[in-house]
Amino acid sequence: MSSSIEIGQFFEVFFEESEELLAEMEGLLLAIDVSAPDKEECNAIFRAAHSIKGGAAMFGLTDMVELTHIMESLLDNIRKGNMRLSDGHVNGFLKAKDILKRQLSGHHQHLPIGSEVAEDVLVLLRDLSNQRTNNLGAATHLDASEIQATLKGGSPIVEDAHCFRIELPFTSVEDLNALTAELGLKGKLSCENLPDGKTVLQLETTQTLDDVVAICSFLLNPRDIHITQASVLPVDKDKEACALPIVTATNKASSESSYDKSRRGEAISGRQDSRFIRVNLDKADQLINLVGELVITQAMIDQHAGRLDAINHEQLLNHLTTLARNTRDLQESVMSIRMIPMDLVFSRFPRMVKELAAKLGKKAKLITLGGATELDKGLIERIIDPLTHLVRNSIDHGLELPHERLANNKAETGTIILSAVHDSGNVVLQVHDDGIGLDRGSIMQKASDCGISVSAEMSDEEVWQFIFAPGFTTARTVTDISGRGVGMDVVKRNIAAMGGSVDIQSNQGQGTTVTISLPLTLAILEGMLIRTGNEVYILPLLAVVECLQPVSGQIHEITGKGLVIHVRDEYIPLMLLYELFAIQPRLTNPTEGIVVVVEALGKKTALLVDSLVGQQQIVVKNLETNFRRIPWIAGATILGDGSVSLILDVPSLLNITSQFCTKQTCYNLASS
Amino acid sequence: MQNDQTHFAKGEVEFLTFTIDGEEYGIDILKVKEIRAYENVTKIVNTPPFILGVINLRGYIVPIVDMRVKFNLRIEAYDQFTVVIVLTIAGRLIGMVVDGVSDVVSLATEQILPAPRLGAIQDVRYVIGIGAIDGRMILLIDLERWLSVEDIVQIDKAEHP
Repeated sequence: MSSSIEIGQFFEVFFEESEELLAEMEGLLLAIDVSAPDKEECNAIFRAAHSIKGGAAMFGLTDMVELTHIMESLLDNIRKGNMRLSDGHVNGFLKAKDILKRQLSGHHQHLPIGSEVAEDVLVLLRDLSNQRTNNLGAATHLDASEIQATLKGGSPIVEDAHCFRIELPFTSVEDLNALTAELGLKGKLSCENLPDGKTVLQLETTQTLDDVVAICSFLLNPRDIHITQASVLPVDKDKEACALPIVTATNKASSESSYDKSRRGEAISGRQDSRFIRVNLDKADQLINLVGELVITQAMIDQHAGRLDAINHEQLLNHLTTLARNTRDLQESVMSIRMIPMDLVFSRFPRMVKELAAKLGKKAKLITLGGATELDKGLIERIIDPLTHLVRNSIDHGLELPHERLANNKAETGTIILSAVHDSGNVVLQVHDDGIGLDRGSIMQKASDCGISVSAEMSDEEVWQFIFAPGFTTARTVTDISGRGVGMDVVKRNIAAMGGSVDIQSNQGQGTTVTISLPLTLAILEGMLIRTGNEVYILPLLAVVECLQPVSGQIHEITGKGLVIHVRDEYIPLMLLYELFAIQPRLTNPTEGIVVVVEALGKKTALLVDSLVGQQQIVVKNLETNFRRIPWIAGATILGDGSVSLILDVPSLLNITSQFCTKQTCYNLASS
Repeated sequence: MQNDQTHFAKGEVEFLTFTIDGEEYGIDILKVKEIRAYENVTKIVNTPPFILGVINLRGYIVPIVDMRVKFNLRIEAYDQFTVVIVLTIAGRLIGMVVDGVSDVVSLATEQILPAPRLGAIQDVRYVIGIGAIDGRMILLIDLERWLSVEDIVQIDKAEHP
């Protein structure tokens, strides 16, 4: 393997890692309590900035190094308690994070963005750095060491400060300027040129020796630098007082001060935080398939072993039981690799809601529910854009301005609820707002303006569907947030491309709920195995309400319209599965078989099956990958014996029964 | 995916030959993933009769088609001696039942004769040429056209508007 390939690989890793770090940084910044920042959180933000800086420096991405460096210095002061965190800092960091993200993607596509983009943020962050002394003056909180220092009669600043004498080797003017600029951020710096051409810097700072060495190491070889240190005496800040050498950078390895130890401990804990490895998705998929094969092989061995004499082969059978258990465990853990909690998507919304609401002069709070709901990685990535659009719509069109809300007897702050649940083989995502709701009149008006035929008798649902028409908007002005009428059209198309559906419920004055229903592709599902004839089908367990063995009095025929079953004061349509799927049945009398009552979207139906086989976790496999979508079938899975079993799509089965189908209509539907 | 045009570009092209109802057919060997014995399929309702069902191919769900059904040819019983050729067509895996696999032949450009024109009545555009080797005649098939992929793989738009 040539070295250029290796560098390329590292480059990719750097981009992925940096993106994750930036996302993590944003999450932490949004969560941080400004009045009492958690030390560990500050450390984590600092580490993120530091890691990005290190990576960027390695690849020579100077613009990113510059920005992260300033962030890092500020964060360092904050985490050490030299500076108090303020909203200004958080906002500055968030802006810097956005710029870093742009710079990062610019470098990734080999189209570096201009330095002027970062200029504002750099100025902002430098301003923040310069406020440091003021901040300290205003600080009322003193930590233990400061109190101790105060008791001794010294001022805390002076007690913490050190004076470093840094002897530099021959350096270029640019390097020297860069170094002095960096060190200048850390404290009071003076510079003198020695007669032999070397330069000596005097730095009075609260930083430790390690930090100073670290800064210098960015530009120079640490071995060439000679640093001597002395504490600044409160009364005497004269340069001559710094002459006392305590430790030099060259032999610092031998120094085991308690500070060094604590720093090392911190570094270790930092390393423990990154408990993730990056794996190609194809590899994960391959692993899942291979484990599936293993499970099948294991099931085959089990089948054979069942025929062995239990007394003569006791040990073997015991081991096989252990093997079976281990294989199941292995399968479960491997399956979970591809699944990602919705939290990953939800986590990007708090900031968006906060910023957008502020921009529009509205007050909004975001509640997320069901963040632990797991969804396949592929779907997670594709759902982000539609969701973003819906949330944006909710804030822009849905929520009213605070005074309007108060006038309507609503809480001043609008609520947006994002939720995710598994519902019988689907993942249902909802974006709910308690805003103004959709205006039926203006939508109808706009629709007829657009040339869509409307009538007053149309149901609300039909009217709401107009929103999804291309180019449809009721917004009077086009803003940079919305109003171009492109959005909902695209949302609907994207979701349809994933095989999902979008629904809108809205009550004027009370809010709007947009429901996205996505089918599972590679989701894991608790399934109930049922047998009809020689075929085994799977019903999502979530959809199953109950199973019962009917008695003849329970079944009624509605002449020519099919059968119903009377279960606990309810008449539920009864479908004969063998009839629907044209299977040679083993039994046709409902009282000999089992009736499974299923429910989805608030509707119920009953299915007649021959028998129940069992219940197990299954991996939903997409039929469309190599084949196509089949009516009434949600997907397929592979059973323990290696055979393929089809998963029934309960909502679409319900659609058939809602038309109260007879034998004839079922066949018509099947052949259509 | 191999371009069909390369079949006749120059030099030699390798074809896998198989028989269906006594006729010998040839397909681009690069489209063949593997050859395996027939195993029980899971039947799928609401599909054309020539789609027998789906099987589990090491974790992938693969549909099995029988061209003999599609072309109304004589069908032998399905047992473990029935051969299935697993093909990669348009990025999808599809299994095809055949009577038997003969061998792999290497055809030089001059051994490939142009496809016959049978007029408008019979649509045989799937025959891209005829291989003549040792007195045998091999019908060279364009799989994409033969299986009429839209039959199998396209999502039925009528059912899902």
